[in-house]
Amino acid sequence: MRKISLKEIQDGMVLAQEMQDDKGRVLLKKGDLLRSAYKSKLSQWGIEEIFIVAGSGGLDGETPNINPEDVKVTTAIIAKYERLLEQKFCDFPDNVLMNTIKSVAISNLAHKEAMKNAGF
Amino acid sequence: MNSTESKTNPDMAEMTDTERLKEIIEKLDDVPSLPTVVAEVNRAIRNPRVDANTVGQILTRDQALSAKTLKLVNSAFYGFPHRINSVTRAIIVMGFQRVRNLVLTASVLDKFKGGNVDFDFSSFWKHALGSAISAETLSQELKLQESEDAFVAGLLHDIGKLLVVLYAPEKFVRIRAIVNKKNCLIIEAEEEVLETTHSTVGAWLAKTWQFPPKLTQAIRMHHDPQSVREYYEMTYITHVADIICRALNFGDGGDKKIPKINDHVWKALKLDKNILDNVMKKTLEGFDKTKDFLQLLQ
Ligand SMILES: [Fe+2]
Ligand SMILES: [Fe+2]
Repeated sequence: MRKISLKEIQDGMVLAQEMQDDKGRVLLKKGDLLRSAYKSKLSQWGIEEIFIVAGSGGLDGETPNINPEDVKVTTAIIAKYERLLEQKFCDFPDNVLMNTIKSVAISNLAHKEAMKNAGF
Repeated sequence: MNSTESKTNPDMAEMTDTERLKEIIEKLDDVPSLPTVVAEVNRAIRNPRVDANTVGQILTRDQALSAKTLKLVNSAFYGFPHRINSVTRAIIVMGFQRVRNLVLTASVLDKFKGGNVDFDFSSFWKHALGSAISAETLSQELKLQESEDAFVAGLLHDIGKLLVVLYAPEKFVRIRAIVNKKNCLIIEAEEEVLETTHSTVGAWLAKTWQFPPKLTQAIRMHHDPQSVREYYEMTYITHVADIICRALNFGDGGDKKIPKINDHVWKALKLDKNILDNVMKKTLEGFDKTKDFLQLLQ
């Protein structure tokens, strides 16, 4: 996990912590992919710094001494599970509970694969 | 039974469950019975003053089943630091309920590990095991009582599908064809071909095999949890566990879809994203340690 300022956000970075607004509503979930286009929205929400998964996205060079919390969940892995679950869930595009189940499943499956890739 | 059914067949109401089911599953008489010690163990542990030795002795009368049970007891899933060498010892360490459930698991896996039909038993059992782990984890996470019973409920919730596969194989072929053609849930195809579902068929087996009523009920109602009147917790858990297991892609639930979660169940169990996240994480970890369960199929 590493802290970066808003202007450092690059496509493909993975959020390491859930972000909530002051009413406790979830803005972005842990494991969500960041896009540089989010910068303005995040600053509107009054956010200045965020925590990203170390090694995710465009930043490299900083190889973490592997900590399970910091395993790299790549865009490709997430996309793979999104594709895998898309058809299964296609009957309920607007069902809040099913969407919750789907997103939690994707993040867990992706995290598991990333852990495996990192040798855990 | 709905009104159209009773109109077309006025005798239906008079018939017993078994007779009605025999019209659907022709070879129902071929369904095996469980080893006799399973019923004896069940009877013994109903006595609150029974001791581990007594139950251990009953179990040991069936050497093959005891050995299989011990294999599960010593699997990575439970992760005991030392090998447990006797069923009596297992009861002392794990308790009556859990060992009884492992005896049940071992005997059912043994009875239904395969057959002379075109069906992927291993994928079926992976779905069952994934649901079992997810059910147990969920009830632990929710701090419900008797979470070890949730494991068996998850494991056996779809057992009715196997009865159709093995004892009405032509009908199963038709069901599978409908699932593939319409890309629907298997339960919808079952309604079309059998006018009943694997839940009802599975509950019949559970009753015939004298499973605890809670388990029978969870099997019967896992696709219609809102209508349940007793043992609702176990039924709700089983309903959710099936969905979690499908979302995590363990094995094959019989179709490429996922049943919709029941809103009432979600609220009644006070589920939320964090609970779901923990359960999924632990289920994924647990599933990796169940090789010994799947080996009983070989
Ligand atoms: Fe089912
Ligand atoms: Fe199922």
